[in-house]
Amino acid sequence: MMDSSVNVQEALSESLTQVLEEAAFMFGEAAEEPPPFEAAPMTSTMSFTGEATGKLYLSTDVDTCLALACDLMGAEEGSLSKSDGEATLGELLNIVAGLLVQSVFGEAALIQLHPPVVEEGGVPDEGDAPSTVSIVTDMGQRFDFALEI
Amino acid sequence: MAYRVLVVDDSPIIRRIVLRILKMLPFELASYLGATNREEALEILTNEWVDLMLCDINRPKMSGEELMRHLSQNPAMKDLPVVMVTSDRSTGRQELLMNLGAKGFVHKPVTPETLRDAIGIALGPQCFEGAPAQ
Repeated sequence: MMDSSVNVQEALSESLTQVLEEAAFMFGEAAEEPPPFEAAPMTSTMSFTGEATGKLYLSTDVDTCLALACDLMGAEEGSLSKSDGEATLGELLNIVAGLLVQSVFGEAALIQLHPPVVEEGGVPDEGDAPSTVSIVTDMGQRFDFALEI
Repeated sequence: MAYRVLVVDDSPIIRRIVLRILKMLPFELASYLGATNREEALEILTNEWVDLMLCDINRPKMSGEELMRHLSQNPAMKDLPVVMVTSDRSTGRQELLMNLGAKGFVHKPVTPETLRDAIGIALGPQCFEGAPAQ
């Protein structure tokens, strides 16, 4: 069950900015009017079940996925493929999801995170994912992060 | 002493990141073995000597919990030092896995500091003696 004192928007924002900073040394903050994606967006979707059930969505553009992949794996720019970028976006959501469910549902909650699925396109429209934040990094990269419960 | 390390994670990104970090640590790595699921992990554990296993919890073909149960019931594998490398931060699951024999936890994103600390607990601080970072 969700802790009623938790501000979901803040939890989304804080968990994503923390992971971007720790994992990729990307510094971002929430933006109410984010710029458009610089390239075609891709979205990683992950469902979770257990003491709470729902879905998480994380979107960014293809170029940012590849930049993240190079950064995380210590690879040369241009040496990785689109599938590496997709795998990285999936893994990034996996990491952020653990942090987010802990802050929203509590440390003791037993929640099973399911494998992420990455597809082309952005986060679903408002009706499907009511809690969404956009994070823009100091390099202008945009990430959309959404929770549906 | 040089160590043979098995990393069980379905994500090739995480396996590469862990290898990269292991090479950064003052830790003598004899072999790095990768497995994406239970079957691969058990095959390696059956056929090869492994000093340390780093294992994700949420994997498509078998949870870390199931794998730990399997290891704990196998006399030849029950004493293998296992560190869970996971995005799952539930204290309840952590307690359960520690009871099944897990020696430590590293929360993703994996950093050199958190991995070094967990390996030091699992293998003992001597594992970092006398081995320069590669």
